[in-house]
Amino acid sequence: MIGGGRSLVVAAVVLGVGLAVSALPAAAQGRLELGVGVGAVSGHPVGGADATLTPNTGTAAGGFTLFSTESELEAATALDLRLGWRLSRIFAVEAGLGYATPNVATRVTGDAEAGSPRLDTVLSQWIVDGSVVAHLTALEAVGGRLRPFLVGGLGYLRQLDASSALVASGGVVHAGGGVKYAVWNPTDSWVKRVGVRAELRFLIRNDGFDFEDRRRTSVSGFASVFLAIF
Amino acid sequence: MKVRGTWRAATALALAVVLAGASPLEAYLKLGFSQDPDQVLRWGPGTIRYFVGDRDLPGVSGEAFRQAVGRAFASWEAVPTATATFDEVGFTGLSPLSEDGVTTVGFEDLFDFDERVLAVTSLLTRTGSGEIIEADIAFNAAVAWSTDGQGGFDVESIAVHEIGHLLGLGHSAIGETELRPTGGRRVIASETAMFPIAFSSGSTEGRLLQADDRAGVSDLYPTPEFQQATGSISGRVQKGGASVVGAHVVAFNLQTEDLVGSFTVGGDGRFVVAGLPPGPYLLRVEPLDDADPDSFFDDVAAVDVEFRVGFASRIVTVRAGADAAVDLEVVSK
Repeated sequence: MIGGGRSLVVAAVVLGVGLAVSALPAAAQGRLELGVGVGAVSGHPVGGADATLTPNTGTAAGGFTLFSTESELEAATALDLRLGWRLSRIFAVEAGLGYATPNVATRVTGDAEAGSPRLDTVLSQWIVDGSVVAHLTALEAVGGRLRPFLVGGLGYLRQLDASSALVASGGVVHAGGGVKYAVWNPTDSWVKRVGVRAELRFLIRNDGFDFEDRRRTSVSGFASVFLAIF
Repeated sequence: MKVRGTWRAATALALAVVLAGASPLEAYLKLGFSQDPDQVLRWGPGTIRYFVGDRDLPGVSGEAFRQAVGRAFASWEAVPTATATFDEVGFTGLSPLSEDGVTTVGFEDLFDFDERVLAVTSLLTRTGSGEIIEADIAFNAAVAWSTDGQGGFDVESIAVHEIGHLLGLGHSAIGETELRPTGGRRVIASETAMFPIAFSSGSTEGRLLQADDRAGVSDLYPTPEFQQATGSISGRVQKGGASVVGAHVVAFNLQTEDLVGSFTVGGDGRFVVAGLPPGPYLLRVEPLDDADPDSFFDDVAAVDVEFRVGFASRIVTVRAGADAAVDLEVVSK
């Protein structure tokens, strides 16, 4: 499961930045924000294993290794859908849905009879997350069109195999930041802002597809377009 | 080492373990497949009652033998996912090789077997149903035995192996051997009590049941929880579009590092590795070319050993109560 203490730290940082700036009516920015983007998620190791046999008397001490494996969840491109609700000029909450198809590359080593084959297992990976976003209004530029933000939150990870059956599930804590740039900013329309968004996140994964059940870290980056309405 | 699969009176099957003999191999195999792939040899419901032979040998008293055999039965009975239970009735002067309706474990002069044979298990089964009605285990009285691991072959280790046969398990091939300069083969390592060649004299490693053994006995005598909590991997092994018979398929759990094996049996190259806890598995397939395939199969002419060791192209995820289908393609040597 996700470490609650870590998420509290992320929330506290976001809150601190937000309090340092003044708040203006949220409606002027468009309360509801929809976004869709593409990006990439970095890979990370998912563990190794040794196929060890019990040695006979007078043979290898400590076990006879028939073969060993090392596996890595490789970097993958990802799609990201985001729905945000602006609470104030500074704060917003977001719900996100991420999808990727990372490959688990498994290398077999030490097998005297089989060389070093590589196995490829493609997963379907879904992440549903919730985030708090703090817009750094004090750092706005380009007449308010360019707006940096910090983001942090929690997510639920599901990884499926080729038959769409659940392989593993887990939790994700994320924290990061980025910028939004309003390409179109109408004043007399229900559409309040249309723009692009770039974002970098640091991810800490618990559970999920991992042979050692260890906490893993990775980085994701996304570029997206957004539409703010109402 | 040599494992025998000879029928006695059309309903009995004998199996043996040898010293450092001729053949090796791996994975658990339910007895009876070679007669009828759909018929498995197993005991009916209820506790299996057995007698212990009262013959003493130098260095092994009847009482020490009884206790070692009792510990071996207890090891199988302790498998939490299997229902097999045993009850020792007492000592007997009956021969362990007599067909008398009494299951007996004891020392015997095995003049009819290869001198390297350590012990033999013979089964008397009900024709048609495959139900075991008597099983005798005869330890070769000409061998030096020990019950404390101090010189001689370990009675408890060999008893664990033979009780596996008594329960209906065949040989497993999860192990590696090397050729001996004097002929035959010597075990380098194994990860199953049902490997057909014993560890060297003085070793007590064979006392421990491994994942392959636990899966095998649980598949034969499953608890309801075992059936619900485990899954299987099945498929075919092919070489150039043709079915491969006698291939040894091992499922390796990438989280627990347990090994459970099976073979392709029948003419269609099909295999089933059952009794697998849920998790990610790597499948390895290898030919039975380390030893004499008749340790495992009666019809050795059909066994194909002319292919290279291979792996499934992806990790296979096993889910509780479900079967994962995976076909394996191998290439000729």
